[in-house]
Formats: sequence, structure tokens, C-alpha cells
Amino acid sequence: MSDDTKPYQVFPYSIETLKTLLAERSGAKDFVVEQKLHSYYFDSYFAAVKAKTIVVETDYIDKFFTDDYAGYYVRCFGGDYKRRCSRFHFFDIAFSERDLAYLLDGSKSKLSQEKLNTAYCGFVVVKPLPKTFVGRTCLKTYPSLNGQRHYPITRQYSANLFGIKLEVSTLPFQEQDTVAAACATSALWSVFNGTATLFQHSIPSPLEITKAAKAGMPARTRTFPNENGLTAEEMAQAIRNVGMEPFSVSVRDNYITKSTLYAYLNGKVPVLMLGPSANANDSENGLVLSDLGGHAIAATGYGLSSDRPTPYGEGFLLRSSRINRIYAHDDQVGPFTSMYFENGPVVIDPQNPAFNLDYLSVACGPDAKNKSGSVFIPQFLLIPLTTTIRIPFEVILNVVIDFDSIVEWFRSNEFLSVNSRIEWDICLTSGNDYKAGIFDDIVDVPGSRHNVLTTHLPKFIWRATAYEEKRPLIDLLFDTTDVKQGSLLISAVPYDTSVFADLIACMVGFCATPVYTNIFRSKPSGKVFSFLAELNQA
Amino acid sequence: MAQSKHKTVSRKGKKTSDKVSRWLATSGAQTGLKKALEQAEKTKSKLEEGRKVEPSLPNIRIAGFQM
Repeated sequence: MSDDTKPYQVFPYSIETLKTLLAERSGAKDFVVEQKLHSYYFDSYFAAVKAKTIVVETDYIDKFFTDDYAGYYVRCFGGDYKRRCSRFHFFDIAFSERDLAYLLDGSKSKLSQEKLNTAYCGFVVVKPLPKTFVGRTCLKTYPSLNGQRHYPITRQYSANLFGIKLEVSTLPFQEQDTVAAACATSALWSVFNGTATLFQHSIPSPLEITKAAKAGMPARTRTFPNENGLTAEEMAQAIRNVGMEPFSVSVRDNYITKSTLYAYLNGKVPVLMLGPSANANDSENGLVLSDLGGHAIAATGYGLSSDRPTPYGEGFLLRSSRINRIYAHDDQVGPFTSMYFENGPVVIDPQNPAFNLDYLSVACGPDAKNKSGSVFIPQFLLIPLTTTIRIPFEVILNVVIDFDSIVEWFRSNEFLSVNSRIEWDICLTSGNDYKAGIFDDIVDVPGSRHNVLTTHLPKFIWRATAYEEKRPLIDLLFDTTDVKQGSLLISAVPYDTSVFADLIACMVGFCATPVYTNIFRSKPSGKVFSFLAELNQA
Repeated sequence: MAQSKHKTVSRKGKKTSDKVSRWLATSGAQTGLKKALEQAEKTKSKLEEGRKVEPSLPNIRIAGFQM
């Protein structure tokens, strides 16, 4: 089907055509392509984005594969691996090879650069390897599903197809080759693609990531081929190597996973999730897990339901509890893989009773109906941060919980004209993004616009927004650079001046009580109460 | 550190402030406040539990990531 003598070929899209082309361009056996979860993923993904045409760029040099090739494959005696790759472009309009040829030679064509760019779904680099051929993949995200799907990490990536400028909003993905990269390396590579622009660092190739992770670490075995993967410490070392600080959070409870992911992803920081993955089969005792293995994925987005948030502890409401799934770059499946939060009895060892576990069900497509039969159990989140983001999410969350408990007490005693318990939306953001939102009138801050826009803010801030149902009431802006025992609160921005005035009045009274003096005065949450009370004299 | 001050307290706010102060001086209010604090502590304790790694899971040392 494919022809090396042509610079490009155009095919009508079907999953069978795609699988044949993948086998031909990589040199993989048909059954290898057939059995890969990536094939199931591509089938449902390209159906969801309604792909109609594949353009195969037959001779493509991929920077990252070239690095891996120079570091390993070039010295293989028998493999005779090629240096160059192919690149498959996908479009959601139908056109022929002749249509593209006319456009390229300047003749009258039904195609144009604009038309192709509008129809562009992205590309997949196909590496000339017999099993692990899915190279750098930049595919657009699934449609927004009435605003329920959120992909905060994406940015515009350019592809130049014989002079035609194409763009796709995405985050790059590639599968591990088990030589230069294991899943941990692939996850790190995707994460570095997300943080490179945000924190200004270069993007190392998978081979360079593995080398950096292992450098200085006493290891029992060789670095390449990298069949044993990376330890959590080695992954942290790879993060330090590009100038960031790794921040680790242990998780067992889905609530912690959801709230932490939401907080950092909205700040455009992708999060590494580490834990066991396993095959799962239903039984009368619960889900039976088998073939447990350590796995690492890169969380890149989330799905938010329109339900009310789930009360936590003594009724605390956090918007992130409405997350019902995440999107992750799972090198065993594909980019923006849907993973659904679930909880239930699981059996790991048949000799022992089932126990209750929070886990994620992995899907090969956009919906729960595409579940793959495998699960992922997050145990650690590894968050790559710039050195000046020092205050972690959990500190801000605890401050807001204290603040919420007092505010709720005032509200339930009818000192605040708020009809329902406050729902909190807590996330990282940049000072510039926050101001841009206010300047562009995405949010209305009556009477405070000038003041907020001219307030000096650090590069990154924690933002806690209080909502009454869908109505924002107040923003609390916290410093990310301070020390934990510092003041933390930088600014309080009112959306509803009447509620804000009542809140200040409540805080004035509260700060005069022994409860405030004895318990809160020296705590970070106490600084929030006193900050608001002091606004009474402002 | 820069602090943003929003002058928003009105006459209504002053009245609310006086009302709050009177209410807070009552023993019922003090009890209610302490209960609110206890609830916050319970929520934070539950979060702390949720941050501990599940002890029933085996120690995995295979495939792509070692724990």
C-alpha cells in the first residue's frame, strides 16, 4: 500500500487502512499492530474526531528519535534499523492525492492552507521499530462535551507539510521503546513538553531523560536498554536536571487525587501519577486484579460533572470533587486517555479477603463504554514546579477549610446573605493570567477593577474562589513564594460587595473573640481572618 | 508585601459588625464557634488519612516504574 518512492501518499481514513500503514511504515508484524492497545485507542479516537483522510509523509526526521537512534540503535549489528521515520497527518475532510498535488504545484485545487488547517486533527510520527513504533504524537483533544472536558496543559504545536503551515492545540505523547525509555521516561517527556514553556527549560529526548535520571544514582543494573524503568527518586532527579523542583504527594483517597490534580493542572502544570496498574476482572468478591506492575502516567486534563460537589469531612465543598475522570498520557494506551474514578472491593491475593480501594478504570476511548479492562491505582503524585512555587496546595486547602468553617458558622446564623454552603474552587494560576481574566471582563469585580489590576502580584498565586452555587462571591489570593508560617494571603477580591461587607463585619467581631486570640492568631488561617478584619479600617 | 485594600464597609456593615459583636459575646455563640472548629479539624484529619499510601497493596518492583 505505501510507496517509498513518493514523498507523500493520501488515503481515505479507515482503521484497517491505518493499521496496514502502521505495519508497513514501522516494519511491525500485523498481529503486533492488531494487539496493541494503541490500535483500539486510534480506532475510537479517530471515530470521535471524525477523521476522513490520512496523509503519509514518507520520509520524516524526528529530532527525538534521532537522539535515541544516535544513542542506541545506530550500534545494533543485526537490526538494521532506519534512521528516518514517517509522519501520518489526519484531517476531518475528504480529499485525494491529486487535490493535494494541485495545491502543492500551484494549480487550482479544492484545498487551501486555511481549509487544511481547519480540518487538521494532528499527526503521529511512526518510528521504524518492530514493536514500539508510536513516536511523537500530537493529536487535538476530544471535543469539549458541553464544557465538561478540560485540557489546561495544551498549547499550539506547528507542523509544516511541504510548506503548508498546520497547527494543533495539544501536548505531545509517545510510547516507551523499552530501550531508551520506559513508561516513566515517556511520562516525564510529555510532562517536560508541558512545563518547557511555562517554566522556560529545554526539552530533553527520552534517552537524555533516562541518562539524567540515572546519573549519580547507585544502580544495580545497566542504564540501557532501560527495561527496569525508573525509581521515584530517579524521576525526581530527571525533574531537577531541567531546573525544576519535584514535589511529591502520597495519595490513597480519590478526593486527595482529584483536588491536587485540579489545583495544579489549572495552573498549567502537568502532574506525574505513579502507582500499580493491573488487569481487572469482575468476581462476586469484587474486582480481581492480576499482572500488577509499576506504572507512570502524565495527567493532562480532567472531566467535570455538573452535579453538586460531594461534601467532604464535615460538609466542606470543593469544586474539584465534581471531577469524575481524568485525561492522561498513558504510553500503553494513547494521549488524553480517559480514566474514571472508581471505588470498590478488590482482590489482589486470593488467599486474603477483598479490601476497599480507590482506583481509576482505564478507557481506550472518550467514554466509559470504551473501558479497557485495566486499572491504575495512584499512589504518588510527582509535581514538577519552578523553585519559587514553595507553598503546596495542602497548606492553602487547610487554611480554606478553617476559614470555611467559621464563614459557614456565620452563614448558618444568618449573618451572611448566602443561601447555600460555599463551594470552593482552589487552584494555582499566574498573576498575569488572573489580571488578564479581570481586564478582559471574564469576571466582574464591581468597584475593584482598577485596584486589582494595579496590585502587585507574584508570578504564581494560589486562588481560592468562593461560590454560592454558580455565583462567585470572593477571591482569596495567596502567595506561593512565602514561608508556611507567613501571612500567605495577598489580596481579597470581592465579586459581591454586599456579601463582602458583611463578611468583613463578621471578621471584625470574630477577631475580638478568645477563640481567634487563643487558636488562630498565629496560624496561617488566622492571618486570613485578621486581613479581612483590617479592611474595616481601610 | 503588597496588600490590596478594598474599602467596602458601609453603614449596613457597621450595623452588622455591632450585631455580630453582641452575638459573639453570648455563651451559645462561643460553643457554636468551638464546634465549627472541631468540624474543621475533623475534615483536615480525614484529608491527612487520605494522603497515606494504601497499606494493603504489595510492594511493586517490576515494569516501567519501581516503588
